[in-house]
Amino acid sequence: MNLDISLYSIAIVVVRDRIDAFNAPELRSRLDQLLAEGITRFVLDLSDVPFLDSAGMAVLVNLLKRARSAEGDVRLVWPKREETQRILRLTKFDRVFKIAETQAAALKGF
Amino acid sequence: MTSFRRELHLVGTMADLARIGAFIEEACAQAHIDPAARFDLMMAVDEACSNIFEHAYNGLAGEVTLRFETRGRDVVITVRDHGRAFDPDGVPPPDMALPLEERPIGGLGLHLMRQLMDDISFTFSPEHGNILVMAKHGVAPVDPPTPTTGRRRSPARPKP
Repeated sequence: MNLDISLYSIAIVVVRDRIDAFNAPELRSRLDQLLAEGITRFVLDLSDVPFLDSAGMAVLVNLLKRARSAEGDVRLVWPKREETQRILRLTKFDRVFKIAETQAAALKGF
Repeated sequence: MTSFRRELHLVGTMADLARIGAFIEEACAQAHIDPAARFDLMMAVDEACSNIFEHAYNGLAGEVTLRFETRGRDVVITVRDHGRAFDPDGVPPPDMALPLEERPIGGLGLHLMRQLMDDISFTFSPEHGNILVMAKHGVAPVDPPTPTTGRRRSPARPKP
């Protein structure tokens, strides 16, 4: 039997709290654990994130750099809150990250 | 002209950022600040306080006083601390022309504060410590409804 099987590990990380300078280190540590386990493709679902500051953004950029250097990538799911979306546009995150409306759409790109 | 003022004084750390955000959110609601501006005010104050806890107090607990007030149609927020002197000129602005993934991480907080607020000034004196004053123009109601009537009034025509 001629089979061609590929397995891909993609971490889907759903964040439900604000991401600020207090809890960003915890998020980073959890993402570091996943990277250490060999996962290089990530969907970060930010739809329920009410607030994201520059420390949170730094975690996302750091993950992106590390994932891409390991041939992986990071896709985001847009926050539902319009103001949080605006911050991602203001900082031009939407030009660097692929940001989808839903988890399913984010996964499709991989 | 009715003015509005609220103060929060705390000895805190990064763990208090959510509480500080809630204070700004509540003050905005009480002062009937333009909803579109509330997030900007919360964000600017969060970035300011993060910088204070991280750099002025080196991660240790420190004293911060926040004052939220309206002056006419402007919101003015004053943040005071007694940590290490902050020199905004010592923070290189992020090169926004660089692709995000090539930008050094850091410096974004101050940049965001400047983007989100209309006026921003830092002063330091050994006696009074760091004083940050940030203003956002035209986001407070012309004549806030009084608590007794709760009556809303039409916004005034914008000045030419």
